[in-house]
Amino acid sequence: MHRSVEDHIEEFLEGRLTGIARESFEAHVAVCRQCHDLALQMQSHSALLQCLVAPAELEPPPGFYARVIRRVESEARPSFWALLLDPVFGRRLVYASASLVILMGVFLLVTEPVHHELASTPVHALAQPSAQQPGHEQPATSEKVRQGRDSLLVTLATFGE
Amino acid sequence: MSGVLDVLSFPIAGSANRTKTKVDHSTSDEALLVRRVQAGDEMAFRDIVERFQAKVYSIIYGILRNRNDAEDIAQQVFAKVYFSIRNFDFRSSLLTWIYKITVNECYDYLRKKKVRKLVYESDFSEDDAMRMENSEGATDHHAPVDQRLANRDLVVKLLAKISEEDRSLILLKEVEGHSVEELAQMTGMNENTIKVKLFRARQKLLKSAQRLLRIPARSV
Repeated sequence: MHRSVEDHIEEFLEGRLTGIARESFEAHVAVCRQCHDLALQMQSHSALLQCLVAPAELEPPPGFYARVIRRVESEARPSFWALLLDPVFGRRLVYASASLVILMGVFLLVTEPVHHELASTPVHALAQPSAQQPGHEQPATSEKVRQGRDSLLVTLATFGE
Repeated sequence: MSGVLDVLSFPIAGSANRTKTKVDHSTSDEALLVRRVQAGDEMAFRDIVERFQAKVYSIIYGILRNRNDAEDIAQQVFAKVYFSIRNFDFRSSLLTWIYKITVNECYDYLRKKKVRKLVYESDFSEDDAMRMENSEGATDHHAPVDQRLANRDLVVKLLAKISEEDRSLILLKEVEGHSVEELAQMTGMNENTIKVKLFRARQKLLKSAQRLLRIPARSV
């Protein structure tokens, strides 16, 4: 849009364009298609915006102030979520969580046994020494299980007598 | 270009009184009221609510056309006024400041609820339709109600595409009917700045309309 029209478009839309300014505006839009179209579109948008004008000045229902105060009081009490959303507290919470995660990671790395690979593949399973193989020492837990089984058999045999 | 001036009709000149004196918003009676609220005076807050409740309610109803939502959002507006008034810096008038909060709350509501249709079957009675037929300001009274509702829907969508500041300025100008001089007084900006901002906001609205309605851009 050309300067002469841009400078006076508000007066034109308000209906206050008079005298030389109006003549100059009219003369320009008569020959400049671009400015003419733009002024026309802005005029139609201006008319379209009138649909947002409320039918009349409306009053809210009685007791409005009391309801506003109730709303103010309810919003004045900080909720748990509002506390989390508070930037300062939220940042501290993020730092604390990150520190905790790092500490837990370090703790797990330190306390985890070194040889803890599982026999996840057949190759690994075959590579591991079997408990059934001769010459392999039975672990203490297996001994306890065998003793328990023996005592159970004795109990069952004496129960029949 | 013959006959272009027949199409581009010049609006009738406005008759409002216009003054060019710069208003100091920090010394008005409204400023005293604000300072009382800032100091914790509940009665002053009540004065503000009672002074602006009808205006706020009407602005919201004008945009949403739903009384229940208007009441709810109006409450939210005044709650926001209560909590934010300590940041009010007297650069603009209290009304302008409340107006911006109101319009922003309406658009926040529309964004949150993802309201696409602004007409609610339960709320829009035949009585409302008749009232709209009889009382809508400068809109075409011969246009059918559904056409007017479609226009409103379009306008609300277009306004959602521009910035909060542009939206408030356009609405203060077109819907509230304030002149450039009045807007300069209300906002504390100079008239040329207001004109430039309004012009850019109008251009953005036109571009948004072209995108929304898929009209080929020609002159914007």
